[in-house]
Amino acid sequence: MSLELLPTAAESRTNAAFEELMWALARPGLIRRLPLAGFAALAESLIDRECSFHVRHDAALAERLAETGARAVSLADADYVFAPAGSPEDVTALAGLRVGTLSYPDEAATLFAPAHFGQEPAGRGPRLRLSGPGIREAITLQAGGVDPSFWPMRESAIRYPLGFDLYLVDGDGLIGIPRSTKVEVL
Amino acid sequence: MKLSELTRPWSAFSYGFLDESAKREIRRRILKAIAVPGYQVPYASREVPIARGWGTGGLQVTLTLLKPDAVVKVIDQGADDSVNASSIRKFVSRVGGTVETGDTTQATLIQSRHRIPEEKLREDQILVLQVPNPEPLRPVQPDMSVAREMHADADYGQLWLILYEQLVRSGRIMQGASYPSMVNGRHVMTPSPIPRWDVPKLNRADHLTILSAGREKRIYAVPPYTSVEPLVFDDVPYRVEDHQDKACWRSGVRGFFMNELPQEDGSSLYELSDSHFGIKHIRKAAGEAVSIGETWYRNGRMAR
Repeated sequence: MSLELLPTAAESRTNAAFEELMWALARPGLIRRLPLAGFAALAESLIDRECSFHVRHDAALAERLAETGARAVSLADADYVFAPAGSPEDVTALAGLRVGTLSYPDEAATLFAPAHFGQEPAGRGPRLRLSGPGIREAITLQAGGVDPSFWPMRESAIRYPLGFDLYLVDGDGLIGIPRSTKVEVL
Repeated sequence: MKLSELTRPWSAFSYGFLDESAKREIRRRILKAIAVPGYQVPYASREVPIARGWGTGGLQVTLTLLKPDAVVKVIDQGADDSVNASSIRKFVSRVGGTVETGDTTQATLIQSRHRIPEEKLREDQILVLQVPNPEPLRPVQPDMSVAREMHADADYGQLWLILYEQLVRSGRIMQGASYPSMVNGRHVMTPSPIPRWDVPKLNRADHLTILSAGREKRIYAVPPYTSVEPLVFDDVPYRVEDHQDKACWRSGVRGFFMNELPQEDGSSLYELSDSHFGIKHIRKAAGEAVSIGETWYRNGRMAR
């Protein structure tokens, strides 16, 4: 019986994706680079039959997630939510995200939303000032593809330690914004 | 969908001993622990081939974070060469093919039992602390369901009562290790049984700390740049151990956390608790080219 000293390709991929997820949340607002672009690589490192998920407007991803054995549930019940936040309607739907309970704040949802971090002036979104754990002083950030109404919705949903954790995904770029981060719209 | 698509070729072990589903579960818990610093996230705590209470919590986190280019240091009460530390390090390198080190500055992943190294950790380093008892409220509330409600309500008054009783009985705070500390102004955590000396090293640190209790099945975390404040009274400041005047009998170094070695004649010798830090100083004194990293303490005082 020999020990497997090298990880398989899938193991390396999920390990690397998780490391970026972890550092993105530990250092909010900094752009991390994923080994593979897109939601599927992120989901692969986290989601299995012990989880529930909700996908909006992406049938292919929903099918892929269902293959892991995870349960597709309504947005209000989901552990992991993959949904855009680009229009006021999207944001209204996301107001129902689970925020956990005071005894179990870890039962809150994690939201993965597409965004773009590029420098093109069209639709870059408002300037945001982030502060809180994981941020040395403060960090300013612009994320396009997120409706301006999202940030007030997030603020009203979060009563720390209650609240959802957010990942913004742009191709292979990843920004984590946990509930502990204070976001000010400048 | 075919069965062959859902399975993978047989192998005796997964990389890093834990299988992917165990790792995914720990990953999910670690992310929640980072999102709510200091809050104890329940997790499954799988079996690993060491007994519970010997570092299984820390080991599971280390194995989850393991990758072939990781450089792993394992500490047991400051020492790299104790049986517990050596065994864990050997196991990790055997199932992960990783590089072992004693040097704090070279490690990417540091698993520790009850000490934080004297050299400052960097932004890219992860400290994994083994925790025997994750519940700071246990001395005042043995029922963990009630303790959870107390955490939910941020009801921590009784912890000050313990400290007050120590003050009244002994004239000073006697809590030597596991000093209860407020994280991010919301959750009180026990920083694992590190000495009082090490608690300020967690406050607004550059590195990420993950604390894991295997037997008690709890993971919690302190992200970088997060406030960790020991509970104190306004008029009784927090004091670390008075070790600034002690010199290590091996290396001659002063001003760091020491182990006391009682001698037959009733006197004591002292030696550096952080064993590899001492080794570096001895090598440097012998003329070897050794680089010693910046330290948290200088001359027995927190340098900040």
